[in-house]
Amino acid sequence: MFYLGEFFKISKQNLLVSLLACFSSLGLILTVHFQDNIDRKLSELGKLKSQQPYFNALVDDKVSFSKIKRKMSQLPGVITISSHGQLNASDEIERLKAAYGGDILQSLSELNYKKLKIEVSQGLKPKSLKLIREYLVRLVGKESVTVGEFKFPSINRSKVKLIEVIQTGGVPALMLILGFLFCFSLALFMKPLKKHAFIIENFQRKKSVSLRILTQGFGVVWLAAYAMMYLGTERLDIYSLSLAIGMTIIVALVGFVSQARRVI
Amino acid sequence: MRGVFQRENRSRINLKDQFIYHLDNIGLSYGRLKALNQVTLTINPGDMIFLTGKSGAGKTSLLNLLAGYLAPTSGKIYGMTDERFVAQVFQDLKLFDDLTIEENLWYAFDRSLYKTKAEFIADRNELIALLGIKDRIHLKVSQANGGLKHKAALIRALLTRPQILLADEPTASLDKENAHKIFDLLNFYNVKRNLTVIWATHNRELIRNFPGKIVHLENGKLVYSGHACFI
Repeated sequence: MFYLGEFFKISKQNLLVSLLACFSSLGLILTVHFQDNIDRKLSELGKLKSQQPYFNALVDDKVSFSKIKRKMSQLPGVITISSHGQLNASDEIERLKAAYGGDILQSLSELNYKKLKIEVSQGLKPKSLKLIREYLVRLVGKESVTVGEFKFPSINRSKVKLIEVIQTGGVPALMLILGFLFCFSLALFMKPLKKHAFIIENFQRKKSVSLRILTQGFGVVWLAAYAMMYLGTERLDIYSLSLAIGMTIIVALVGFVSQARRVI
Repeated sequence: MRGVFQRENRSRINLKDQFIYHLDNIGLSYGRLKALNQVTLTINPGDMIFLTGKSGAGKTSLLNLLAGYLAPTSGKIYGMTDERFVAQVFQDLKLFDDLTIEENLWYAFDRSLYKTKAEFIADRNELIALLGIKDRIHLKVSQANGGLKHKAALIRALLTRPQILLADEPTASLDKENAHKIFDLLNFYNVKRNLTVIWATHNRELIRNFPGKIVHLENGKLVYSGHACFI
């Protein structure tokens, strides 16, 4: 408790530095612990990346999707053909029948459609776009398809680039920044720590004061963080625990270096 | 590590009838600068020694050698090995500016020395009363004047119940009256409690009336070691 008290005393006297050290280390722990969640969140940003020109089509459910996909993929300029499930016309028509009654809609209720999205490359000429649409109509038959107009989502290329960079290197970069901030704040923490340790070692004849202050102080902060994470998520992964061990070694080294030494 | 000057001598050093420190032809250099040069000196238990000399003569270096913070570059130091007997008053005092005088004094509370807090408080109050700072111990160090800070640093050192006190200019920035108070206090501890005091100072007034031993340094060399009356 004595060393812990000293840790909080030094922290109070050097509030900014100690807050930086605590938050950066906690940030590191949280980043490692919730890395999967962060990766998932980052990948959701990728939806922006796939905003190529596209058109939608409703195709009779009886037509094979794999055939459409295979044939359309061979066209130059076509990037992806994706099925977005079925448009269940019968449900919709049942709703209309309930409202309006009659047999008029009976024949319609037997129709079912697949929703397709066809994405094409940027910069295709209007003629090429028209040919792609016409090819789909010819492929499945005029009566089995309803084709929508081409849509051209506005794309901020620099934004897409940035998102790509964040997705590929975001988490490592974040960990690097937090690690640097932690080391930097520890370096700033050394000066007041040295003074406290020197006084205590001189007047209370204690040994390894810096080491004990640092390890106990940060140890308690990190243990509290791990306990809360465990209570919240009921898991502690091996990477997160390895990080804690690594940081404890760093802190112990800094404490060891900060110790007042008598040479004789 | 402090005090392990010569491990081979550890067992035969006995404070009752042996020297506390014996410096044998000590030299200390900072790069090319020779801070101490061929200093030979013996300090016995219960000595009260004034370490004199101009600034840069090597007084602080000698104290740091005795404290164990510096190792001699030549020669040997023989000495007592148990660090618990040594206390220091540092030239820069090493007080915490944002704490009060009282809080600073608590840093001398060593559970191996004091069985209870009450025992420590009794000792502390006695010293505070002797130096007349009772009404000012609640001041923050940053608000205290130089004299009060020096007194606080001295009390903190004495509260560790040392057998040896190394004091670097403890009367600096004190007026004549307060300097005499500190001298009387240390003299009292020296005579009544057999405290060995090694005191670096510029204060000629004190030295003039001093019946004890003087060690005078010039440019790192010991030029006089003996009683003040022979100067």
